Amino acid sequence: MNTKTVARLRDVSKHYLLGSVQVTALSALNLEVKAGAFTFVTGPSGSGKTTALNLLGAIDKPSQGSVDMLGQRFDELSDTQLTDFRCRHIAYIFQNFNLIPVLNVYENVEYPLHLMGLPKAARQERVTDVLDAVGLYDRAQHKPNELSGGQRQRVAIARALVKQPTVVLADEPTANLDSQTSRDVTALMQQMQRKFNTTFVFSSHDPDLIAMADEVYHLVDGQLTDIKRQEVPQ
Amino acid sequence: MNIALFAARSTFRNKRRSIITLITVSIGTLALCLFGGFVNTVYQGIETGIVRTSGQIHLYREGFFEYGAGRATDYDIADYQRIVDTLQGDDRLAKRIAVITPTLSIGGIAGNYAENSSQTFVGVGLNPADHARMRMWNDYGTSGESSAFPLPADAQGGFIGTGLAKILNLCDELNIAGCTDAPTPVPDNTGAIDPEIADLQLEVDASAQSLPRFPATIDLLGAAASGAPNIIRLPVLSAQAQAQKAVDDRFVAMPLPMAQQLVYGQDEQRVTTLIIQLHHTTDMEDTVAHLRTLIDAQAWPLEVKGFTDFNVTYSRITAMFSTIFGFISVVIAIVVVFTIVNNLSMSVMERFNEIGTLRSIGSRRSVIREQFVLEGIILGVLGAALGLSLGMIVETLVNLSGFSWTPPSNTIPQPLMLNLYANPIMPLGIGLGMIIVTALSSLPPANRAARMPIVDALRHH
Repeated sequence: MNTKTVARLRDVSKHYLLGSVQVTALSALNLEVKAGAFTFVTGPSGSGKTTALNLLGAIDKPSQGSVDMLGQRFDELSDTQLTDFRCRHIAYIFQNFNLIPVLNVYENVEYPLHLMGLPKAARQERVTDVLDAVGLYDRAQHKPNELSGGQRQRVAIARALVKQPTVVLADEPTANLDSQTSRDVTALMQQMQRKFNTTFVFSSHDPDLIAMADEVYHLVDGQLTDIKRQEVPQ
Repeated sequence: MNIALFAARSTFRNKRRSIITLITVSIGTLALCLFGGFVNTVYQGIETGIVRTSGQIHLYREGFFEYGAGRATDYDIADYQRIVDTLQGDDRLAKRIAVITPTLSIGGIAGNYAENSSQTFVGVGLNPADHARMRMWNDYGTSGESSAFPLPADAQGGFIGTGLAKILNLCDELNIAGCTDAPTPVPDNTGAIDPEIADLQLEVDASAQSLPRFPATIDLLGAAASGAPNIIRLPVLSAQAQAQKAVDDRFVAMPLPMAQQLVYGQDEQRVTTLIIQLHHTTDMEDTVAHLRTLIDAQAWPLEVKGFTDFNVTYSRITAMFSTIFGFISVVIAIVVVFTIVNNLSMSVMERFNEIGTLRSIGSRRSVIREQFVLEGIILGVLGAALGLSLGMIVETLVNLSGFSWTPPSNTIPQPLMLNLYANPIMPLGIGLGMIIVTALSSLPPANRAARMPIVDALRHH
């Protein structure tokens, strides 16, 4: 891990309207993501973890404050520019895997590279590498519904890493996995972080996962209550 | 994985719903094709009927078309044989013309004085051999045999409409099926025949003594070109039903020399119309243009009319069927629009999460829109292809079925033929139209998918 900041939330607040009632999901949150780090946003349900990740991932806009990544403020970009930024720099790993059911493993992993406009040979090389890394090369032609939960999450990890993003945002990636599979997936992400030197931002309250954190931001009711920084043995 | 393949796989994710949509599109296409094929047959049937009796092109003396009905002899064509010879000698026309024949329109009073009955008539003097050839025209191959032309080439008499035969009490003499003479009324001697007409009739009676015996004869009283009344006795060889009752009740046809005798007597023999029948109606426009050039070059005082001009029934019937076709097309398009919108809207709702995922990993709104429109187009293409294929099968079955019908302007039944693929523009147009309708129908749900906020989309599971 180095100390270079790749992404930042500055005084970010997020309000929703639930009917006529305004709900505050985040309140004046400041958060920094260091390059190559495992950054965690933790807290109980409804504390604003997912909202913070959505803002970092440029799929939601703050009510107040600003978000930037690699020095680029998101509020200065049009929708299309924001989409293209996401396409090149941000990857997601979802709690429910969110694989495309009509595409097989290979195609699911290859899809982001299509969006980036990579030529076929480059796509093939990258997909093969990453599938090999997550141990699913022999399952490349399988559809998601032919895989176990752990295998699906490995595909999701492969899909996130294949485009070599600046930041991988993982929203409770082990929540739907049994404990053994959860440990396997956690180990895999650690391994991938070392292999590709990728920055991960997690939202989770899984203690096994949090154990490998470089930085932990603890939220309660949308407010930052604690920041822990720890050195993890490399 | 390109977007088209992705869309193709997504199209049949919900097989039942997609198949129902496909069936709707294909049945819509089939219905339009069958109706279009039927309309084609109607057009060709009417056209064939017209071309067999009147050809595709008429040459008139200038003014005859507008005013000739009342004063035909003011607009007749002198030295017509020279014109016919000139046209037949033109290489470009000779290749296209099947028949060119002169006719003379006449009118007056037809009387069967033995039965004390008379009726105004609308008549035509023509060349029986030419008209017998004209009735063989069947360029589209979809119409059946025409009724034979009732006059032989060397006919010494004419034929009349069955309605006129009935009015003149000639049903028995002409042996017309389903026709009975009117009961003989109590004689009314209060009205005497004009002495001048009676004298003319005596002359005709005397000359008729030398003619061979015929089933029936009628006397035709008309105005000669000089303005004087003239009368001829016309042997009636047969009667033939005409398509419209108003015509059937007044129609008389006879060899051209007989009609000319009535109108011109011993003067120069003229005609009112030169009928041209082409081998193919598709040559009409070009032939009309060439004829106009030729007429201008020769300084003939003639005008040229195509059958769509001189037979307004054709234009009206085609306009009516075109309107009906348009109306049915709109109704079917509305059904297809609702089916596609429903199908894709359901698909969008079921795939909110997937849309959110695709957007979050970098799919632009346009890519999402494109994908759903492509899914609509795929349904349109498959549905149209299925409908067109089914159309081909149904067309074959109907054409082999032996059903018959009587088109407007015809008097005898014709085989019911669907002529769907003779002109490929029509089915291809229907197929393309259906694809365009499905593409446009898919835009609202596609836009909805593309505009959805990503975080909202990701909340759906």
